[in-house]
Amino acid sequence: MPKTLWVAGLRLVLGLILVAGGETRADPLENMERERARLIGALLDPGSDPAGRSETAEIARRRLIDLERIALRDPRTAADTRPIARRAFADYDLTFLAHASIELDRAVLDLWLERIGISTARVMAARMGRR
Amino acid sequence: MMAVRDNCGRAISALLRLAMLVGVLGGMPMGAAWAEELPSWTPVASEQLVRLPIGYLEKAVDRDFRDSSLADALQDKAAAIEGTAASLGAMQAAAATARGALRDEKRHAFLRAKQDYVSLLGARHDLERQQVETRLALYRRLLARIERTGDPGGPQAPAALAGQRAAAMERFAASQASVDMKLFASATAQESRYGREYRRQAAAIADLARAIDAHPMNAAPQIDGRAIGKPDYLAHLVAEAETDLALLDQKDLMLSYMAKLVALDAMALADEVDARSRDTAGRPELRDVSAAVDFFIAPN
Repeated sequence: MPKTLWVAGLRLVLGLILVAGGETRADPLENMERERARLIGALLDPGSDPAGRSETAEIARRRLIDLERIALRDPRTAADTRPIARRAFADYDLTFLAHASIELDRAVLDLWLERIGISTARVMAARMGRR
Repeated sequence: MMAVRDNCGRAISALLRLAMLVGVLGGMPMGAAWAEELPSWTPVASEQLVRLPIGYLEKAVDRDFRDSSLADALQDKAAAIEGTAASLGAMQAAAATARGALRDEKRHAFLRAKQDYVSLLGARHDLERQQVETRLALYRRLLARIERTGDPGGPQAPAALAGQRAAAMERFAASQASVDMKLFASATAQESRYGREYRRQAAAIADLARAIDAHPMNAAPQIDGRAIGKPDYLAHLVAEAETDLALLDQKDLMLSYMAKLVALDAMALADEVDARSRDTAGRPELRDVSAAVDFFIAPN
């Protein structure tokens, strides 16, 4: 194959990569969801000691606060009708967990458990059994 | 003298036929007469046009029209009409003051000029009609496209989701200060890089946003002082184009009346010249039979 054809093909591929890269942009809602999962995971991690858990959770919470703000301020969300957007804005406390927990003066984990329907009373009333 | 009069009579007869033809055509759409020569304007209801800011859409359509051969033809016709209209007054005054055979010639020339003027106006109306109909079709296509696919520049989220988002934004705005206060209450807590940069850039963004809002090209169109969306604005433009078409119909009616008046003037002039030529030919007068009675009752 002639060298010029190789160069043209390479340019085309690079161009496609650049175009694809230009159109692919991090989704703030998805990033926020991932970070919240990481925070919840850190808070529920049975393998870490309380001090380490607290430190990891605090770092994750700070990051989550920024990501929540980025998601809320993103102008694209105004036209976003995907299920993830519908779920996100249906429950502010659950979606913007870091902000809601500070605003309501509640621990992140307490608020999250409450929003997904797990309370002390319900846990205490639960019976162990087989499905 | 007789030759001039004969020439004038023939010319008037030809003019009469032409004027009557124009009079007949005046009642019909004049498009057929110039259909083969009509220049064109073919705008496309493109995605780019749909995405344009609403205040800019009509200007973009106008600019597209100005670049077309139809606009050039309209401009040429306007110049020709202006030239003909400027000479009509002088010709009318000349016809009114002339005497004898010269008067007939002047009246004839004035009639020809009026006929040319009516023809030019008819041609211009055809071009205007073509322009308005093309514009109307374009606006209808754009409106149908926006109604089918939604306004790409407008909010697309359903009302319920938009309401939830607005409520979230409101709650976030109301709680942001207290959240920040609690967050940075301890001396060791530091603001994140995003927070710092966002605050620094937010003021500049607000200034830019204000400048965009105040920019005349971004001004939302208004009807009766009420800001309207793109579909409403396009519907308004469609109605405006239909109004222009109705007014053009009325102008065509005026034009047909003018053409009929030219035809009647030509008939009157032809009659007048004909009567005068009969008078000067010295034909024997057809007298009443009673005037000859004396020839019969007198004895031979």
